[in-house]
Amino acid sequence: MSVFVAGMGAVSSPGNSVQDSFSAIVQGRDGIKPLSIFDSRLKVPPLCAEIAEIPEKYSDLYRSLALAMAAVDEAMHAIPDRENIRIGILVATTVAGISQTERFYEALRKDSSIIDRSATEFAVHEPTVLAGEICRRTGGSGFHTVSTACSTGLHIIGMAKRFLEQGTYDACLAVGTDALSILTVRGFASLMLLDPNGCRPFDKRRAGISLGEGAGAMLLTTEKFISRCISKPLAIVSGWGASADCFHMTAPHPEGLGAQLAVKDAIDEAGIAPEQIDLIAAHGTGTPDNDKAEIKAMKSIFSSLPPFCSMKRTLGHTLAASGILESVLAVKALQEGIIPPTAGFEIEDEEIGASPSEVMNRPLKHVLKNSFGFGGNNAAVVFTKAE
Amino acid sequence: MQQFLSVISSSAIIPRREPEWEKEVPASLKRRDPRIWQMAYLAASRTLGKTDLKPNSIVIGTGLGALDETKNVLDGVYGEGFSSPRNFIASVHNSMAGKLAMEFRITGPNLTMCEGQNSLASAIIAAGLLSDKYFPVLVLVIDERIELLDRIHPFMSEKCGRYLSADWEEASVGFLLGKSLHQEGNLIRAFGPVPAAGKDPEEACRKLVRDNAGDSCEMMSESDSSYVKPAISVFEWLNSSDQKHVAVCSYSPVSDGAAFVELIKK
Repeated sequence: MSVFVAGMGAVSSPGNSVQDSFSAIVQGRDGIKPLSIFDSRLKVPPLCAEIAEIPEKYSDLYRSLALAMAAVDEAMHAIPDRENIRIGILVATTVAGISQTERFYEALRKDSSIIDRSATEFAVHEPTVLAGEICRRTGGSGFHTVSTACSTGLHIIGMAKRFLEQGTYDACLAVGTDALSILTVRGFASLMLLDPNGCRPFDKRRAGISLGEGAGAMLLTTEKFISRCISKPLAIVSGWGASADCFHMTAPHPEGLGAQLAVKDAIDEAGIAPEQIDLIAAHGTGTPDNDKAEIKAMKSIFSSLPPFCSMKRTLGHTLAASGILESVLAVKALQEGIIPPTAGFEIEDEEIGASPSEVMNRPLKHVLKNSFGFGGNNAAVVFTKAE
Repeated sequence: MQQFLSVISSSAIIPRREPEWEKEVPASLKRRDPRIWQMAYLAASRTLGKTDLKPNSIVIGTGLGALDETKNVLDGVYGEGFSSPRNFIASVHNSMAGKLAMEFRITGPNLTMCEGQNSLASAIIAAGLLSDKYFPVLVLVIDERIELLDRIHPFMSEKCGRYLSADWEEASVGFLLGKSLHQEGNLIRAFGPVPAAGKDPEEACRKLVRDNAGDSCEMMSESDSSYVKPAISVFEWLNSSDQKHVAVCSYSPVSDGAAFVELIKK
């Protein structure tokens, strides 16, 4: 059974739509600047990819839900008539509504008498709230909330594929969202993983990540229901792989062993040979260890490394949203036949021994997307061009 | 339609009922790991200790994850101005799953479902999505009780109905699930969460059970609305001589989602 991408939505620092976000990627735009939406209390505001303005329609929602709904509404345009279609909602998030609850917690520490505001201020802390709310707003039949750190966005695509194959739902809406929060900014700062010059994926001088915020959404369905969608399938989700490193809570396995397992599984499920992959949309965070381990893993799988790119300098590292937001843009690259550049990259690192591709036009058939996260969590998805 | 999985073994750490559980935790973990990781480790260790089978994947269900560590990070930011890297690493919702993968060398899929009171149902459903080669699956449901939640929950309950009952429990409950129906063991599957859509939660659960498990399935509703209570109920049922075919219902007031876990004794 083929699982089709029927609709897509994206909200990112450089653009509030798939097209705007993709244009920024193709132009290799630098999407990061000093954090201004809250005070991180660090000596120097870190460089982040923040969303300057939430679309007005969503401005009364808390930030991660607002971002999610903007992406959801764009993706759901694909299926205007949803009557008698069972839609499953899968949500990927690491921090859910914490950008709101941490402000309340700060106030509560100063004045314990405001605890009676908990009901309104703390209710969005549980990740499942996001999925329940998106389900209500879209008329979904059921919902599932996944949180596996930075790999989550790809897992929900794979899980949606399985739900459709099992016949649990007729269509699935996979949504990844994360807003910038003091927890993540300070947390990554404490790990000394924020590059003061902004992330430079695969570059010899790379020194860490740049956090971002955003959301991506994909509407997936099968042959039976694709005719209910207003456009032809955008791509096929042909393989999903998942694994654990069993090595370290934050550092990748130096040989990328876990990454290899996930990528091999995804390619096997797609029923293709590694050589048929035309583009790797890499995780490419810009940390010294991650980028090196990722390319080591890829070199062990591909006899000749296909073109690869990282979108993190343009979008920032959007954590749980990154897998799906970057997948949306990878599918767009597949449709358009464009290999995107890697903003922030200038100098090849001899320890990596490979450089990301320059921007170029080329017919693409199979694209591999990687995402890796804390806990040694790995995910990979293969997208195939819909004929 | 969800397929039944077989329960190979199960175990539970319920600190209120077993106050000395920490004595069983290896000293190396006790020294360096957060308490919730220790709870996760011990429930997993006991579950796996009851069988020779080794899991090939992990699915964790949790409402709030390592909440105490999240609070510690924020206390560092808003108080002393320094957050410990360890607190941040542990605060991530999937930290328990990553830790268990490392401790038990489980290299397969490693998922964490965050579904409040429906976390057990959600974790079982996620396990059912994995390929045959990743079975058996270690499913673990875990949440911790911290003082801040004790202060907050009465106000939350005003808005969200049964947010948490006054005596809500913390626990870590492990299940090793197999895919083959030919194995000995009790059968388990789950449905939901579905939006209750303003219905009474019990009515929403009843409809879900009737539509999916049939009229012969006896419904067990939880009066205690803690995140881990459904998992404790399933664990207790597995170790009892109770009814042959039951549904353990759950409801998350903050997401307004209803779910149930169906159990059949073989």
